[in-house]
Amino acid sequence: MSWRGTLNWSRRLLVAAVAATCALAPLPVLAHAQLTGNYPAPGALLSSPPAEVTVSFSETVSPAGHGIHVYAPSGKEVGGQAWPQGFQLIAPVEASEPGTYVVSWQVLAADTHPSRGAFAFSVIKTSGNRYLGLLSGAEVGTTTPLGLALQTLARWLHFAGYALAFGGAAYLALMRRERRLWRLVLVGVALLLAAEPVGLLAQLVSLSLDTDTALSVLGSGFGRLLALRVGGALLLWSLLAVESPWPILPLGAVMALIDGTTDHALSGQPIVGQTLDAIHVAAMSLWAGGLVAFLLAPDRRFGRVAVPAAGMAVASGLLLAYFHDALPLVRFLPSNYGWAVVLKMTAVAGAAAVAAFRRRRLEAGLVAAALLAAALVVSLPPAQ
Amino acid sequence: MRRIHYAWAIAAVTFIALMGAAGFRSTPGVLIVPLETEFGWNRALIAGAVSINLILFGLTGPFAAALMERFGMRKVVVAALALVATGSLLTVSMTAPWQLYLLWGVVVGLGTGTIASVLAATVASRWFVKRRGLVLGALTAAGATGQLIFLPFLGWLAQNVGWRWSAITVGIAAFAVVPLVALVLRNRPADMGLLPYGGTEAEPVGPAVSGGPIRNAIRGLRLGVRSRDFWLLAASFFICGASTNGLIGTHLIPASMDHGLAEVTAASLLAVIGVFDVVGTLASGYLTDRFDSRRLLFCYYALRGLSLLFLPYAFGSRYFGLVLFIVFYGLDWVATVPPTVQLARRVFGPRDMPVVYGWIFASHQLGAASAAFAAGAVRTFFGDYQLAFMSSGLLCLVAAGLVLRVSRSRVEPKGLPAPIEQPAFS
Repeated sequence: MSWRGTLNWSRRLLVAAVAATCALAPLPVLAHAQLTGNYPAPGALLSSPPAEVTVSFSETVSPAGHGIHVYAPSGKEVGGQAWPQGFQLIAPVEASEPGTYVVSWQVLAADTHPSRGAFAFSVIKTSGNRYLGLLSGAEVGTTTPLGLALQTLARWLHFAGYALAFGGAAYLALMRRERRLWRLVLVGVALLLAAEPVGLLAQLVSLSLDTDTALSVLGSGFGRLLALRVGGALLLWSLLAVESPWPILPLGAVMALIDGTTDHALSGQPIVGQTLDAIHVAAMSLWAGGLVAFLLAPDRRFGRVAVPAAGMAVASGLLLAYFHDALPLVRFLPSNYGWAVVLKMTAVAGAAAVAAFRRRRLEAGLVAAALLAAALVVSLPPAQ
Repeated sequence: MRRIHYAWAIAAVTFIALMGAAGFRSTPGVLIVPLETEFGWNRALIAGAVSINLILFGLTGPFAAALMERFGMRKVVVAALALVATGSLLTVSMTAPWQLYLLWGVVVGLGTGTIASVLAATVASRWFVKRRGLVLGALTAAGATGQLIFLPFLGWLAQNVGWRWSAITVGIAAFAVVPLVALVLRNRPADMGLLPYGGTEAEPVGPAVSGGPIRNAIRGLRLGVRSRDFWLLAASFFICGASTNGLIGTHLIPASMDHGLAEVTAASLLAVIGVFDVVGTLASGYLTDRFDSRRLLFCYYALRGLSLLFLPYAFGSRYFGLVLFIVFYGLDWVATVPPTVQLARRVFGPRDMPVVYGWIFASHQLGAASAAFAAGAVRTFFGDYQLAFMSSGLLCLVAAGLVLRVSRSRVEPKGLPAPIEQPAFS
């Protein structure tokens, strides 16, 4: 067939060049914003009212909605609009009433991950405060369990959609062109689109479900990235009309890079982190999406792509783990994050082992489980 | 080469008429403040007349096309120019708001709409085979040129000499074009024993359309709504209108001022869009003669969508980002018109295209009106335009997908006359 001819090598080279160029584009990437300190200190008993409340983080943050709420002993809200300053979030406070104050804060990190928390301090004397319940909220990581579950679901839908769409397109380009494989790509587009409203809901549940927060989240970097991801999915849908998989592949490279800005990446070396992340996601899609395509329309040449792709995914994953300083895994084991990483590694290792015996269906199931674990890893804050 | 083909004379006269129509249509904008001062009418009242003007401008298209089908382009354009001139000159002696509504709203709206909506498409379709896209591009660009030339001048007149002189100028200019049109404009090449420019045989125009113009306009709509391609083109053109005139045309200045730009600077951004619009539309016409219109439209809408998604980053960054956006957006502004007309002609055939395109154009204006309103509502409710820009950007990407799905099976040979298809409807 002509598409296997020499001319197509130049096309492949072109795609690779575009992908490489995109992969090198620098973008800011950081991990979850982690709390490093508060002023006044949690539980402090002050002799005079503070003029402002400060919450410090491990990186720059932006306030989500009001940013900081301060509740007086009477239950009155006494904090002003918070503003970010470097790694801090500062809000003016009117704390003339003696007694215990409750401060609750909610922020978005540069990688759009939501964080929230609460603490209390007292002026002159301690007292009751009906908002003290905020201090004992059942939090997993930096959000509520429901928020975390929804975040994981959204990312899983996104990863699965990405794998089916671009892995499917690559299979169409490299292996065989069959009508039902195009349907696979279409399912991928649908999943990519479905992931975004779930992601928005997750963000709101993780912070607080009110209009103020919703507006601020949509107006933040998260809103812009959401639009970019929906845009990518729509563009992909447009390109389906052309019925050639080739234009889809560079789009996949760009979308992998956009993903790089929302997954945990490296604060010190953004370019390295971004590239590795993009390679990791792209290689994953070749393996996972290609596998589903193989189940629909088997082609004996699939192994020639799948094995290097899986190897690339594992290698880039290990490198990412190394750069995240996560390799001595024991260090993390007591944390949820550590267990999620172990789960992911087990699923991947299982999939690789099963692949050796050509049990493709089981392999596909394990890869799906690995994607779920990956979605969980990205949604949890890395342990300190 | 022997003497110049008569089609070029037709195109030149059409260009002048279109330039005038666009300039006349936008005149009420410069009259708002003087009318406020003289009569003490409030802004909402005056804006009401402008809205009527805009709505009629949009809805006249199919009826104008049907009229031209029945009475010929020359008579219809002459009548429309006379309407504009009369309406404009009569405003000089108006004393009550209803007169403003009737004259600027209804009379001038109908007159300019008749000329501006479908004339370019009809002329290019009937008189040109070679370079049809380029001619379409030039005639579409005439609108932007007209606004660029007329508006500053009329504004200057209104400010320094009095608004009545602006109205008189428009009236005289419209009358001045009448003899040109009457002498030069001809309905079809066959009327002069000619072939269309670059045509090798007389185009069968099909049986002449019988019945009243209003009936024919409705017939065109019925023909359209049964076709999937009509919906694809109308929806993409709705999005086109929403993302240009509706969103950016109406709200770029206030949005830029939200981000700390001075009003003069912000207004000059729109002027820059106008200049690049002329360049972009001409280029698009040139490209339409050479490439598949669906792919061109896909590129235009995709790039427009991406630049809208980029706009919030541009506002956040330096001035440079915004200038980049403006240049790019200007190039893409009405570049969509030549390929859309070309596609409509291919799908509906040369006989029915003008009326059907009239409806597609109406959808464009409807989109513009909805977006102008919706973006204002978003700004009021959210205190920020980001959501409006992003959702229009995403809509443009949807449009990019729609246009690629227009009758895939029929591929147009490059630079050759489109296959003549008479849809089964009779």
